[in-house]
Amino acid sequence: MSDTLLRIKNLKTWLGRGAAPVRAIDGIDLEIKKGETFALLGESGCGKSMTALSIMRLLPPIGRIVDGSIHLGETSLLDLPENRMRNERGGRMGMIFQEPMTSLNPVLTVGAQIAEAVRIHDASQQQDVETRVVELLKAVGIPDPEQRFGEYPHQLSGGMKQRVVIAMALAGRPQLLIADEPTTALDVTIQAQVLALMKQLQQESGMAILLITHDLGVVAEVADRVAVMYAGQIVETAPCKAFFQTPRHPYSQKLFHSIPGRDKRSERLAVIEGTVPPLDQEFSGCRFADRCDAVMLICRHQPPQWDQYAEGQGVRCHLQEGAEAAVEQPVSLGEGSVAVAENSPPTPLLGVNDLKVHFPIHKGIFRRVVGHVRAVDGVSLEIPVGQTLAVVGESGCGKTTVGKAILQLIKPTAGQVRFDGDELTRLRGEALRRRRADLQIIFQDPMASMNPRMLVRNIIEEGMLAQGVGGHAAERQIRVAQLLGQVGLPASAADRYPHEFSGGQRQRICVARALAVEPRLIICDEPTSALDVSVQAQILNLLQALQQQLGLSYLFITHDIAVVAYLAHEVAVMYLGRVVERGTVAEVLDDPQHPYTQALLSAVPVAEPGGKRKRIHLEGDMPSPSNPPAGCHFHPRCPQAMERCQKSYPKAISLSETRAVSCLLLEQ
Amino acid sequence: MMAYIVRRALYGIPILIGVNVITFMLFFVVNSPEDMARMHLGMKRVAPEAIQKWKQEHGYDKPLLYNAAASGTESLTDTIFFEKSIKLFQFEFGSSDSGRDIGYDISQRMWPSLAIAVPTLIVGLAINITFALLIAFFRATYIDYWSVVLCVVMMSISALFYIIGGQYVVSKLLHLVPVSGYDTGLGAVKFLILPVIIGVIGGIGSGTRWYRTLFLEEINKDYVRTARSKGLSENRVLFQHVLKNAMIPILTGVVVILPLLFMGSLITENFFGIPGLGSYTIEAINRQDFAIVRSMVFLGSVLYILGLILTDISYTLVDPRVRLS
Repeated sequence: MSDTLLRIKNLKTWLGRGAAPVRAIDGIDLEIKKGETFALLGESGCGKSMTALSIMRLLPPIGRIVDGSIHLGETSLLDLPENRMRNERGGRMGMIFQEPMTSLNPVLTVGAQIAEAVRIHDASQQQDVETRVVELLKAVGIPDPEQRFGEYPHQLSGGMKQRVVIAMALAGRPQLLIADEPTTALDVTIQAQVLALMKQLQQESGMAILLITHDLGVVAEVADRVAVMYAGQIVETAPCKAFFQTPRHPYSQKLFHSIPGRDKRSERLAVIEGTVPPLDQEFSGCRFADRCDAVMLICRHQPPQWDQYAEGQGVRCHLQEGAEAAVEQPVSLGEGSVAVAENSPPTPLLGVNDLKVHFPIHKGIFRRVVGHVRAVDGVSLEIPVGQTLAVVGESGCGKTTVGKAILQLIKPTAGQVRFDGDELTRLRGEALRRRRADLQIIFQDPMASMNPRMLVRNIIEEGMLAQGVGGHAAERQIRVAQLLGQVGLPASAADRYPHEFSGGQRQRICVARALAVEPRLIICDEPTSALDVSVQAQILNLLQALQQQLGLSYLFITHDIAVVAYLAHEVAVMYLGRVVERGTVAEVLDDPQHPYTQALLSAVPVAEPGGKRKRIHLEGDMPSPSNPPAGCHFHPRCPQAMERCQKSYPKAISLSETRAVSCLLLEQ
Repeated sequence: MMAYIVRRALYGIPILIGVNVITFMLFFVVNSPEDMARMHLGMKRVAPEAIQKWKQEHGYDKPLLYNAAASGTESLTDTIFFEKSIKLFQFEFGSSDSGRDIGYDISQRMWPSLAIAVPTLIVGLAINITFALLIAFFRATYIDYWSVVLCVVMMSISALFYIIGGQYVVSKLLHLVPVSGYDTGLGAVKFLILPVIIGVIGGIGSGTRWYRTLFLEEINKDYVRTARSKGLSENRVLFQHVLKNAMIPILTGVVVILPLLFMGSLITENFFGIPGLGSYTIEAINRQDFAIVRSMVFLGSVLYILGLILTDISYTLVDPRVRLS
């Protein structure tokens, strides 16, 4: 057992006191070997973060460990007095967190925060803390480490901040690095940088990594072994390769089926019905029984035991060998409807031409305008009736601003937005208000986009009242019930408040709200990125079904390529306020022509381990839209940049009827 | 930064004009120049000539806001309002209606005011922060709960009760310090101790409760968890990380009232017989001395505007994220 670094036995962590404490972790066992990457996979609320905080003994005040043991090497962590535990924390164990934006102290310099960790844990470096800090900054790939030393966190980008957090965790030369969703808040190209960095640091120092994530793609990318958590328990453990080949637990299998992708376009995604059971109870059966398709009588009465298979795979399920066969196969949507939509000659519903949104920068005593943030700088798009156009790009590329400018929620600086023959930018007052019925929007965070003090009924009704549709009160009542039915919620939901629903249900309410005024185009602004993957599948299924029933068009704003591949007909890739490449999904995703699109696609983690794709690493971050680089905006990061790229912005080159790319490489 | 300060200072001018107009109107809704003259000359049987003479001497013989008799711009400038206000902007307060130099009085009376206000502020701040940190250390325990209850109780008691109660117990029963009065030089100390202590005690309830909220808000932030994960002790987490961030709202809240310390406290100075600017203002109101009231209101507004500008500047000093533009 000498190669075991961390051993957790029967750990139980409860939250809250009183009659029914929440059993956030209910008896987990796991072992992490020296130098390996161990991924803890699960959806929100399953207890992954609590596991990490229990290991570090950093639980919130309401949490306590009631049973079990945690050994780091030979040391029993739960028996250490607090002052000796502090040596382990940040010493032999380092931790990095999900939100680099908030996990650094805003009023201390980056150098001071790392130095603090060095002073506590690195006895050999007391003379020259500063040198060691610079060394750490260099190790995590931060350019100009001497200069960065004295900078404050807000002066760094998200990716850089996460590197600083990693440097801080490395200060004590840890044997175990606990990474709690380290890349979830980052863009894919930055995520790729950070994952590569962690991998490289692991090879240099031989530390083990406990990676907590909900992203199967990330697991496939970096993990050696995987454990799947559900409702406070580990339901499956396996070596990475075996897990991706034959996931054994029905829950693991469902997770795979609910990932959207190209190959599932004509199918409904598998959804996991229901929700995670409340954890403030003692379970007398399997926790997953209520949501499992292969449920048997025994699952209701007897908690399943742990079954160990060959090659280190183990599973907690009554079904053993037969598990796989029992899972419901995804239902085909009927190839026909989709195919028709793709082949019919497109009649454009929305046409955007050279749209620009510039925000002025003021300066001086009289607040003169000294420059502009070119959030959107000449975007042209077209959406045919009944089709979906996805706008893809990383944060700050202007995709959300495009959506808002189309809706005239932000006044465009220049350009045309034609909707069904009307020029929206010229509509004013009443005429514009009337047009709003045709264009609706769904936002990323369903909770924040609904008034918490309004009943669901009033939220859905409000648009109808504003547009004067839906008839009198009794008719509207029927309509609300009908809309709720359409999005898969019971009519009784109308008389409840938004906070009484789960995240996925809330997003359904938002969809119902948008549908209430019978729109023809819905702008979906990252509607699933705040949701778990199984819930995301429900919303995507719903959106696709609605499109087929009602002939809706979608402008789908997202950073998630898998969602694009599943749902969209056409794609536009944005970089720094401009569209760099557009075309049909097949054209762009299968054969990306712009170097940025190529890099973006290659950075997306795919849920297949060992898939040897060529990874194109982008250096640095997206420049500021107030001061874009001369020539092609992408040239400072472009692996194929030529001298000419610095001179002029490339024109869009038409490669086919549907396809245009802005790159000088294609001009020859 | 410079441009920002200049712009903010320019915004101050219309505010000051507005403050002046409102003070003027409110004062003359209640009083007339006639009443003021009678008040100063003695209420009974004053000859109309004497009143006229007093008004002429003190510049109250003109129309209030608009002079219909004059022509052109003079109809606005040849009025009591204009004549009395314009000099304020050059900080010439002139003489009071009883003939004393207001500028001189202010320069004399601001020292006793400061002698109470500054120690009260500093001692109060130190005590409130200490208590709040202690409560934050014992967060979510009974100590925390009962401390908050105590704070609310202390906030709910009127300042007058602290003053009268303090004077009764400390001065009347125990004879430790005089009830009221003032002296120059070091002799003033025995008169200042009680008002300072009472000022501090009166502020503990609201101050501690507010600072506790600030500390707890910071303690639950992600960066504190990061600091703990480095292996820092709870003391270092509190002092190095939480205190530094919570000091931002605390400091800026203090800076905004710094200039106003000059103005003194109306109630405290009155009860303890301290000859500061607070009691100066109260006396002027009682005597219907418009010149002093107007000067003090103007001075207060200037200091308040100054305080707000200082607050903005202090933000840039304590919070590296803030840049003025």
